[in-house]
Formats: sequence, structure tokens, C-alpha cells
Amino acid sequence: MAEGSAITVKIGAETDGIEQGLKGIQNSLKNLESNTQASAEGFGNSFTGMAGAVAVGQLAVKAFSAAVDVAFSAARNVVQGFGDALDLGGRLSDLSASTGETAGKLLVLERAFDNSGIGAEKVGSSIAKMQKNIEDARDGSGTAANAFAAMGVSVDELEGKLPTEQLKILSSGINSIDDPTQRAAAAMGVFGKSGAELLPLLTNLEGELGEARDTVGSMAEIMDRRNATFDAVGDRFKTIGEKVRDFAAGILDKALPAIDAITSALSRIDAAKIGQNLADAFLGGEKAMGGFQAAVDAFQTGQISAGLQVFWDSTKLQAAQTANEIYKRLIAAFQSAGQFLGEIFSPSGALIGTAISAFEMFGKRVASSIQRDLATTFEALPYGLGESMALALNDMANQSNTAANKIEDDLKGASGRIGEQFTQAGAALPKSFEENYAKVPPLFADLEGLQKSIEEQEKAIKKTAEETNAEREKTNETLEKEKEARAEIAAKAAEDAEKEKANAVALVELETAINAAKASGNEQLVKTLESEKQQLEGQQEIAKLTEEYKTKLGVNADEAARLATNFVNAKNAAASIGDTNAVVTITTTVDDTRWKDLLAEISANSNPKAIAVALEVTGKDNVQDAFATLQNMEQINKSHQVAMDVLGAKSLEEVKMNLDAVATPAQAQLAMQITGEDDLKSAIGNLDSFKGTKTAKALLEKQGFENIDQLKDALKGIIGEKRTKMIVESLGVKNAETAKDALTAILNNDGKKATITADADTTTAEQKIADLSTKTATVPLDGDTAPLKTSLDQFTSTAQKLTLDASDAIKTIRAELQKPIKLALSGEPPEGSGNKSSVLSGLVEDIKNLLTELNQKLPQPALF
Amino acid sequence: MPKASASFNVVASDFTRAMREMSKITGASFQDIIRAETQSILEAAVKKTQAAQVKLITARVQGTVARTLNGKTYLMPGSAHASRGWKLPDAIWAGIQKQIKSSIAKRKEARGLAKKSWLQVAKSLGISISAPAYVEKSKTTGGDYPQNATGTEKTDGSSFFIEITNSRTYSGSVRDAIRAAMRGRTNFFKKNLRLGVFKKTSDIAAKYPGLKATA
Repeated sequence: MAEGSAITVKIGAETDGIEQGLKGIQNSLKNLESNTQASAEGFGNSFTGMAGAVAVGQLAVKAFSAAVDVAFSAARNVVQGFGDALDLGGRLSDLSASTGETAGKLLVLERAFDNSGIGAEKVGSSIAKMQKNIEDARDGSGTAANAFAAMGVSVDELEGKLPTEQLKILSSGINSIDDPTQRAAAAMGVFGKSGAELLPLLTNLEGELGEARDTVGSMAEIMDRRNATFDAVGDRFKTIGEKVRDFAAGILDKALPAIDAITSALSRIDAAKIGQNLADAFLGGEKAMGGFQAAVDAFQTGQISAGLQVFWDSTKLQAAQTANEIYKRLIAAFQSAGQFLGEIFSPSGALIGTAISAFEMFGKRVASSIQRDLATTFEALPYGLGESMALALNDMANQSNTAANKIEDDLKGASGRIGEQFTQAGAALPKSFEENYAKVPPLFADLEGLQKSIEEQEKAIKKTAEETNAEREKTNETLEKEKEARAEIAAKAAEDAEKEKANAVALVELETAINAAKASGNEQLVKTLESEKQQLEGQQEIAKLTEEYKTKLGVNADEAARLATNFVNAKNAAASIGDTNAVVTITTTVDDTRWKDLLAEISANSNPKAIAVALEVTGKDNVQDAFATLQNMEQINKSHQVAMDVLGAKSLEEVKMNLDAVATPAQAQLAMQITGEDDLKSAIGNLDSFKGTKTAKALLEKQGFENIDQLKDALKGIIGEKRTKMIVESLGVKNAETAKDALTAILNNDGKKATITADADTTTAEQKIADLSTKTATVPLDGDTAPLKTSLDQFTSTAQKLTLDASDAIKTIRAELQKPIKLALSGEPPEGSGNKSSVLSGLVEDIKNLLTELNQKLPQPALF
Repeated sequence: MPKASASFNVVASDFTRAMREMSKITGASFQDIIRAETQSILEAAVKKTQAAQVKLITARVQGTVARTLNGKTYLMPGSAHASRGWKLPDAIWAGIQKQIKSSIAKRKEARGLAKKSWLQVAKSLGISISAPAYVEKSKTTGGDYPQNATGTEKTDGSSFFIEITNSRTYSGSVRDAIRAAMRGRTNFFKKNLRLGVFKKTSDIAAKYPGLKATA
């Protein structure tokens, strides 16, 4: 008995690991998506190029999600369910806070509201309305107070109870109102307009709550325990998203002045170009993208573990590369912007120089103006006192003016210089950005190892995927062939079913016709139709067996059909004998040699046929007596001549007559001879006075009489003890009774008609025929095909001949057995056939031969 | 005694998904559903695991070609290799008949042990399942080795599952039976989904009595 490996079954957990891993991935992706979104929103249009790149990043994230969807669409439902549970917990927590009812009971209420067709969303508003009306009814007036009064419910009764309890009280109150109109009015008085809608629920609140409780199950208990946590977690999830935005806003608030200056400078940069570069950076993560494709391939070919690994590695790589690019480009952009501003506002730059010149020109102009005003003042002084001062001042004013004019002339070309400076600084920006970008160290280093790992995983997955696909193609081919084969089998089965149906119909029709023929008393037609029916049934059986032999014996259709036909014919022939035990009448000759055989068969084998013959021959009703009689018959057969000689008898009948004390013709003749009378009566009368003579004595002795008295006794029907002993001893048997029995048996079977019946048990024969298929089925199990072939050859050839032979033989036997016994046990045996005992022996021998023949002719030889 | 053997895992992902869905639909806890389904699975496994037929046991024992009695091997009269008329001394023949009778009795007593393994799993889980009397009584001369078929409830992190280990796999039908049983329950669930069973609590109660979803 082969020892197999143990079976381990985990009911309920096989996918947990995957699902949990997936939850982590999903959350990571969500975070990644929300972070990039927040970044895009936070930095706004100022970084349009970069935002474009972020959009590319989002696309990449969505591609990741698509990869997940391919492999785990079902598991997404779990994530969704997780979200739903959080939402449910949050909602119930809020509702619990507003109504005072526990979350679990609110869940049950919601289910009950749903079941009643009201809608779960109405729970909050209904409770709120009810609580408001309870409060309003406190002063004992108004619609609500009237409604409570109609229900027979007091506000005090409702005071301090939870909403579910209050609803139960109100339900009871509403049920106490018989009038439907008043009931509806009361409900609306408590619950507002929706009161009527609530009536179906309120009138059967206990039942509805019970059903809802059963439906909700342990969820209510979970919500009771965890609703606050669910709410908090759900809120935090939202807050986390908002925090990202707040964080960005906080940074922007502090950095806004600087960013303002920088953005104005950056507005001159070819931001689109940067965006393209950044997009290139994302797209440049082709190793990661290839990894995602490999993950999809792996999932599709059933390599779940390998797929998850490469998916996760690719996710890490993509995230790291994206983070690196964003970081490096931001830093480089800020550095470049700083350098740009530094150049523009440089003291030696045209912008600052122009500004200084402008101030200088302004001063010169002011100075010139003042000097001229002062010179006019000095010129007006008497006695020429201020003349020299005025001249000096005018001269100074002229110089200032000249300088101012010169500066003014210079300023006229300043805009060009400033523009040139801006152009130069702007032109240097991309170069500066590239230089700075190159200098910024990445946030995440050593990504080459991860890339290499992904490449290796890709190769392995590709190889396995190719093998799997090849295998699938092969399997598909096999499946296709199997499909064709199945279709063929199905078509054959349908055809067979059709045939079977047609045959069944034909059988029913035949049965009907047979019954009709029986009813009309047409025996001949009945016989014909029954023959047809038997033939049809035989055909059906042949068809069935043909299929069976094809499978069991592995022979072709023709061979199977031939075997099946032979089998059915033989079986029908055997069955035609009649019942399992057919009583057969046997014509046979029982002679002295047969007795000996009978004795042997009875003692050794208890052969039923031999016993039947022995009982018939001996006239006994049990085998023991028959056995004893047969022994005596055998003995008498040996010694009967001695007895006949002693008694002077001519036959065994006369010997028996002696024993029976019946006067024999010879004894009557003797009596008449020695007395000289003509009739036996006179002779017996004279014997009393008869004086013995020598001749008479000799005649008496010749017939076994010791004296004349013995002859007289014999004639009178008396046999003496001595004479009896003499006869018994001469026959060689035990006593007179056994001698008489044996002699009677011999004489009764001598020339008389006897019906000797024997049971021809056909059960064994039929069983052996029926076993034909089962026996042959064991032959092909031999591993060596040579004996199998030989066996099959033998089987087919032997079965064909012997089965047919059996069929014919059984018919012959049947015909033979139906013939009457033609033995004539009375009268003389046929001429040349010997004496009666030899005829009897012949009879026994015939029985033996016929039974042997019967045994041999039955289809046993066909059964190996 | 259990032998050291490689573990053979039955892939149950489809089943687990179905049960999670059922948990969501019915509102019953995943644990309750798994416990109830385990009971149904084990009952189905008992039915689907094959047991020896009495007539085949008898035929096999009686069909043995040679038998050993008191250290000597005797060719059985009537067997394929025995000569026609081959007979054994009466004392030997009587001894062999006694041996045959005893062997048949032992084999009959052990009939149904493979089925019983699921019964033992259920017992170790504290689940009650029905089985024919001959299965419940089946044992070998050394007992019925309950340690060969066990089940435990386990919690791994947030996940809950029932782990069943059955080492009595000498009959291939043991493995086939548990697979078929789980597949059957999954299909049963899917069929019930199609038929709308989960829309009414009374229907759920009828189809899944273990869930206590009474209306």
C-alpha cells in the first residue's frame, strides 16, 4: 500500500498574504499618487514644465495600478471593502455622537430601515425629529404632545432612554391605536412627514429589529467597539492628504518672497525645456517600466511570487528615480535662479551702473540748478561784491550741467546694455542649470544594483513565460484534440441513445402486439412475435456487449461483435432449456456392469445423476438402501447361476418364486410327474399318500428338495427355514429379504419401461457463460504481452468454435431429452442383446453415457 | 503511526475568495463562515472518500493463492497454480480457514478508516459531523490513530484560518475528496449567488444552517 504525502488544507487564508501585500502596495501607490498630486497643486503653474513632468509621473503611477489590476482585480475589492468599512465606521460614529445611540444599534436600525424600504439614510433624521418632538412635548402642548398622548406615552417615560429604546416604546404606543388614520397622525406627530413612511417599521419594530440583527451579525458588535477608531482612521486618511497640501502651503508662505523673485527670473528660463528634461527623467526609468511589463507577464503566466517581487522592485526603482529627478532639478533650478539674480543685480552690471549714473545725473542737474540760482543772487549784490562769486557759481553750474548732459547721453544707451546683460544672464541660465544639475547628488544612490536585479528578474520571468506559453500551446493542442475526441464520443453516445430509444420503442410495440395476439387467441402469431422480441433483445444485448468487449478485451469492433454474438447465442440456447433445473428423461440400459459403476459413483462422488438412477433401479427411497440393494444385485449377478442350478430354476424369476414360496411351473410339473396325476390339485392331494421312489427322489433333489414334504410345503406356499437358508446361501446374500429386494430390483428393471429422471442443472452452465466477460477481463493484466496474445488467440478461436458447438449441442440435448424413453422393460430382451441382466446393465451404462455427454456438451469447454 | 512526509497544500484561494464574499453579503463574521463551511466540507469529504467493499475484502482474502501457517507455506486448493485434486490435510485446512476468517474480520473492522480521518479532524476542531456507524467504529488492531488527522484554528496577524492536516493518504480518494468538497462548496456558493439566495435571510438560513442566519 503506497504511503502518500500528508494533506494540509488552510481553509480561509490562502490569499491573505497576497492580499495584505497588495494592500501595502495599493496604499503606497495611493500615497505616491497623492504626493505627486499635492506637489503639482502646491507648486502650481510656476513650475508648469515640472508639473507636466509630474503628470507623466501620474501616468506612470496609473500604469502601476493597471499592472496591479491585471493580477489582482479581485483583491481590489478587498481594498474597497476596507475603505467602505472605514466609511461605515466613520458615519456610524458621527451618527452615534449626534443621536446618543451606540454605533452597533444604529447599524441594526439602518438595516431595519433598509429592509422596510425606508432607506438607511433616514435613520439620523428620523431620530433627530423624534428627539426634537420629545423635547417640544415637554410643556404638554402642541402637535407632538397630542401625538404622545394619543399613543398613551408620557415624555417622562421616554426621558433618559436611548433612541432604540424610545422607538420601542413609541412602537408599542402606536400599536395600541386601532384607527389607522389616528395611527398615521400620531406617527407624523412624532416623526414629522416621514412618520407615515415609518409606520410599517414601527408596527413591527421588534420583528424587524430581530431580523436586521440576525442579518448584520457580528458587524454590530464590531461597530460598537471600533466605530470611533474607524472614524478616526478615516478622518486621518483625509487629513493626511490635506496635510500634504498644508505643508506645501506653509513652505510657500515663508518662501513666497524669494519664490516671487525667483519665479520672475525663472520666467525667462525655457521651463518647457526643463519639463521635457524632467519628463525624460521619468521616461528614462525604462528599467522600472520594463519591470512592470515583466510583472504583468509573470502574473499572466502564473508566476505570482516572481511577479510581485519584480513589481515591487520596479516600484521602488521608479519612486527612487522620480524622487531623485525632482530633487536634483529643483535644487539646480533654485541655484541657477540665484546665480541669475546675482548677475543681474551685480554692482558692476549694467543695471546697477545705470541706476547709479541716473542718480549721479540727477545730482548734477540739481547742483547746476542751485548753482545758477545762487549765481543770480550773487550778481544782484551792490558794488560788484558778488560778481566773482556769481561767475564761479555759473561756471560750476555749467560744469554740472555738462556732466549731467554727458550722463544723460550715457543713460540713453543704458537700456541696450541692461538688455544685453539680461540676455547674457538668461542665455547662461540653461547652461548654469545643467551644471548645477550635474553637481547635485541624488537623494537615493546605488540604484544600479536594483536595476541589475530587475534585469535579472526580467530575464528569468521571460524565460519562464516563454516556457509556460510553449507549454500552454502544447496543452491547448492536447485540449483541442481531447475536445474533438469528446465531441466524437458525445456524437456516438447520442447516436447510441437514439438507437436505444428506437429499440425501446420497438420493444414496447412488440410487447403490445404480443398482448393483442394473446387476447385474440392467435397462438401462432404470439409465437412469431415473441421470437421477434427475443431476436430484438438479443441484438440489443449483442450491441451492448460488443462495446464492453472492445473496452475490456481490447479487441477490434468486428472481433468484439463476433464474440458478443456467440456469447448471446450460447446464453439464449442455455436459457431455452427452461428453468435452472430442467427435469430430463433419460433412455438408458442398466446392465450388470453399470451396477458396479453406480456403486462407485454413489460412494465416491455422490453424483446426483447416479443416485437418481440407483434409486430408480433399486426402487428405494434413500441412497443407503439403494446402495445396499445394488451391492446385493451385484452379488446375485455373480452367484445367480449357482442358485439356479441348486433350485433347478431356469431364470431369476423362478429363483425368486422359490424364495417367495410360490409354486413354479417346474414344481407343479414335478408334483404331477411323481404322482402320475394330470392336474396339480390332484397331484397335491396324492402327495400326502405318496410313497417315495428312487426316481422321485432324484427328481426332487434336482429341484433342490430334500424330501417330498418340502415339495408339498412349496406347493402350499410354505418355505421352510432350511430351504430358505439354502437359497440365500447359494445367492451369496445376507438373508431372504435382501435377496428378494435385489431380485425384485433386477427383475423390475429387466425389460420394463422406466422413467429415469435426472436434474440437468443449467445454472452452472449459464453462470459460466455469464462469467465469460469477467474471466477474460483478467487476462490482459499480465505485464508480458506474449501470454496475453496467446490467451486472446486461444480465447477467440476456442470461444468461437466451442460456443457455437455448445449452442448446437444444447439444442440437440434438448431435442433428445424431449424424446420419450423407448426401453421396454417387459418382455424379452432384443435378440442378440444378451440376458435381462445384461440389458439392465446396458441401461445403466446408457444413462451414464448420456449424462456424461450432457455434461460435456454443455458450454463448459468454451469457458477455458 | 504518522510517517514523515512532504506537505501537500490544497490551493484554496478560490474558495477563500468565495467565503470572503459570503461574509460581506451575509454580514456574518469570516470566522463563523469558515467554521460553518469547514463542517460542510468535512461532511462532504467523508461522503466522497472511498471505503473498501465487504464483498471485495472477502474475495481478495479468499482468492489468496498461497498461505503460511505455522511457518509453512501452502498452495491453496483450487488456485491457478494448484494441481487438479490438490488437497490439504484436514488439520491444516481447518487452520487456514480460521486464518482466513480472522483476516476478513480484521479487514472489515478497519474498513472506513480513510473516511474516519475527516471525522477525527472534525473532532479535533470541536465540530460535530455525521458519518455511517461502520466509519465511526473503524479501527485497526493498533487503534485508529487520531494523531494522523488533526485540525486547528489559527490566527496569523489579522487573518483567520483553519488548518487541517491529514496523513492518512494511502487512498488517493482522500486527497480527491477534500478538493472536491471545497470545490463543491465554492460552486454551491456561486450557484446560490446566481439564484439570489442571499437576498433573503430565510434562504440563507436554509442553505447555510451553520451561519445561524435565521429569519
